[in-house]
Amino acid sequence: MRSVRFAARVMLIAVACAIGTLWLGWLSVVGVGFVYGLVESRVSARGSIAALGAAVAWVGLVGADLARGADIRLVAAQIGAVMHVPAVLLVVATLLFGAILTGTAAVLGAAIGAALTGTGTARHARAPSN
Amino acid sequence: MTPKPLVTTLAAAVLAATLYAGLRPIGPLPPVGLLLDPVNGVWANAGTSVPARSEVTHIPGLKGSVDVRYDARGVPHIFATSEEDVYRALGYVVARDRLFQLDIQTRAATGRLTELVGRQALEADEGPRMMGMPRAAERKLAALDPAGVSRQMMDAYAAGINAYIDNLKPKDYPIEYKLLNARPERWHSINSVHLLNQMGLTLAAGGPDHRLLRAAALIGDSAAESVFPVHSPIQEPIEPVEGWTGPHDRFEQIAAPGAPDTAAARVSSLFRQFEGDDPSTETHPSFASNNWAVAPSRTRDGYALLAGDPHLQLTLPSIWYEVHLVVPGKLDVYGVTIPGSPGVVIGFNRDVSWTFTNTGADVMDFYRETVDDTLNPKRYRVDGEWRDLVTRLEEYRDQSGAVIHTDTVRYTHRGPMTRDHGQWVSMRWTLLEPSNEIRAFYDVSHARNVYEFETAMAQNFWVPAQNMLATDRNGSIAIRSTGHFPIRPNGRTSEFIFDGSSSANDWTGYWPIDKYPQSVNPAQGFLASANQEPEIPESQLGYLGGDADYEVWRALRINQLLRTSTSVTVDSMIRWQTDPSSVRADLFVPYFLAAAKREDSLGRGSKSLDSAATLLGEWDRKYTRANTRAVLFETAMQQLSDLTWDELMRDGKRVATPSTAVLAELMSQPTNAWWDDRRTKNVVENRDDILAKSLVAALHIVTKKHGAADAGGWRWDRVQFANIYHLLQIPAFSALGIPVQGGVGTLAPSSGAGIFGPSWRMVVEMGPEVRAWGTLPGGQSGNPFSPRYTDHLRFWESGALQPLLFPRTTGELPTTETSATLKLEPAR
Repeated sequence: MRSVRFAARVMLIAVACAIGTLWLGWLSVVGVGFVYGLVESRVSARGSIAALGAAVAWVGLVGADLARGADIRLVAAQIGAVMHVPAVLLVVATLLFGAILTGTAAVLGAAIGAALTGTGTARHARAPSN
Repeated sequence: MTPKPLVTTLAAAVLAATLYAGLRPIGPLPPVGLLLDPVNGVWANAGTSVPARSEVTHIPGLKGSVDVRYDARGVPHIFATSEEDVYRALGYVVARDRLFQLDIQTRAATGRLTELVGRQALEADEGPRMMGMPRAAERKLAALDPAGVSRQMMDAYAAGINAYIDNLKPKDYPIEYKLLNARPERWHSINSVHLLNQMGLTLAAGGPDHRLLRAAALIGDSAAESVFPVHSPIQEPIEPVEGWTGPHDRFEQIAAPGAPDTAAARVSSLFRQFEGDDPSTETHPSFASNNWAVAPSRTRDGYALLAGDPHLQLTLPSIWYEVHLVVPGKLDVYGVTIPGSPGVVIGFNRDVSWTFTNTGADVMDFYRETVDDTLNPKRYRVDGEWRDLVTRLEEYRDQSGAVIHTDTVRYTHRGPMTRDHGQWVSMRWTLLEPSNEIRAFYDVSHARNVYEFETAMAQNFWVPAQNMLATDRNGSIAIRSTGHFPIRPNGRTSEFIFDGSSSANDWTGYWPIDKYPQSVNPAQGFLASANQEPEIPESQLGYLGGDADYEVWRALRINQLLRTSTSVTVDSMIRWQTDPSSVRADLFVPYFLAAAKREDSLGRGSKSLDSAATLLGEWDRKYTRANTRAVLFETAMQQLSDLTWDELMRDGKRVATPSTAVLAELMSQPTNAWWDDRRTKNVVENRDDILAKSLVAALHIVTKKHGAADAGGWRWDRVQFANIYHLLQIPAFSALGIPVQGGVGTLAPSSGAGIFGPSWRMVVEMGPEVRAWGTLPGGQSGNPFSPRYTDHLRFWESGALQPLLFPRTTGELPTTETSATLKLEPAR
């Protein structure tokens, strides 16, 4: 059950991040993470959830191009070469970039949320342990 | 669960750092956020690399629907109902494929690269501005009839480009804009003039031979004029000469090196901008265009044939964009355009085909001006009277629009004036004077025979002068060196800089058209040009300039092939474009071998010399990719040049290198003083001594560098490459180290750095139905991620041409040959 809730949260964040990125640009994931942190300030692993959600969102957005026939591998290889990094690192950097922005924003949001509500008890949802 | 303060602090710090990286440029790279954004960043360009199979777009100003069919090679066939619409659509499709190229080339032409890349481009930007090019474009545009055909074409074309730009979302910006953190600029009609001027700068910036001056400064006038003659010592001109059945030598005794000429040294120092000679190479012709036509009487199928391959700088995307424009009953033309300029430059219609090579005429003169104030002149004196200088403030801006530098450019009635070594010098140049090349392109697209073609070109195409070759369906072949050739009042003088204080030194006009070098349907049944001197010196109306930059070997080879072929086919025309044989090698190899034999017979031979001669003797004198002997010959030629022209060395560098045609002339004078290597004391070398020395040295160098002769390292394709750089010189977007057939002096010569070559290859058969073949060194798309970015390259590399489809209607283009469609409708 915990895993399902975790996955649901990740998907929710992913959808929010995808919509935000599509409509407002990459900076919107910071807002999504922050709001999520505020709202679920007592949820443990909120940073991981937000980070994972953003990564899933951005994978989805890039994947949509891939599904339309775009040569993502070529772009990764060539832009990687321009930036003097391996292609795979460019992909990882992209996902990490979104994940870090969203995850850290969620942690900040949670801290502010907790400060505002004055609560400090974990309500539910922990990161699943395999 | 309340976050721990440490975690919160750490998160805040990481977030701040990530945001900083996301929003601020890091070094030469744009903000990471802009690049990695999965919707608008670099990933989005993967999505734009594959154009939609079918698309409908509305663009303002169209009078009717335009049907664009992209064929399997990515060439748009544009079917419109009016010529204005066809050029509007052309602007749109060119922008769709080549937007960044349009932008950066215009900025380069106008000296505005700093606005894209910042201060680092300042020096490059000063060049065109100080040469007066932006002002010249403005004057050319102003001189055009606002209601005339040229303006209509340019305005419609500009509107088409802008229609594309206006519909563009940031995510669709070409990748280069994202890497530069820039955005496309709207297009102006004048940009088309700027781009044509830029082509003119490339092809018509040849003034007097400054190598002569630099040489004279070291060895005196007489010797310098001997080794840097205006006219090539080996002649086979473009205009056939009655009674000639091959090349003619004009060998004269070459004057021995003499005392330095200090006056030449002084004048030479005024032309620092032309001191670009590479002392390490024998010669380095940058451009090497070819064209030839064969009359029906000499072709197997009885139709006139035409071949053309203009050699220019190789770039990705290509310098050219291939199109087919159709307006039923009015226009049906196929060929290549300069992206940014409307009109087919090289191509064919249903009746005529045409192609160019550069004439390389001297159309640039310099004048020493007398000014009223050495530091800040406002007037200059001509014929004893002061005239006001025109001044123009040139402002250079950075990416933010801030002015980072200013220049004041002064103009006399001749042209821009610059100060160098305390001397004010103005320049007159045909490129800076009003002309209307776009009108010429329009007219020739409607030409019905070679006469109409040549007339249309002569009326409006003035610069850069081109050897314009045409064939028609009636079987006629014609060529004319077309452009404005100045008439100097005293012909050519030995002075490289004229006295500007007298109007008597000004040009008095241009050559009349009937005096242009030309030929129609010559008895020999073929015509060919390869940048050689267009007519024999005795026929020239006045000083035209020399052809030393290009060398004569390609012309000799084409004529050799054409002369010996009486049943020419399309296949042979295509094959000849990458012909690996070299007349230059045919001439020099026997000299090397004979010298080795002579040294041997005199008991001065050596094992190395024997080995080198044996290896060279095995060479079939062809520059094929698998050849393993050409490298020895080229190195020997390099050594020969170094040892022969040692008198032209200054401070460890050769100031100028005579042509190999002059070297061939020197070969006929085995004891000429030039053969003596001044670096060897108490020995006076002759020709064969130097040849033998060169050959031995070459074997040593090649073995050291590439290993043993048959170990694989001597293969020509391991030594010589073509390098096609992206416009921003980004290696990842470039095609580098491409093995190609050809060497110095062959029809497809590969230059040292491999950055020049055939920018377009085309063969046309003018039968009852026109058939054509062609290829580009790249592809139609400027998007490095598109499969169309380099899809023609493999054909270009192998010397193969692709059939060019020439449908009269959309219905004639088979569905199997249609890769995409684009419907352009008038905006609602």
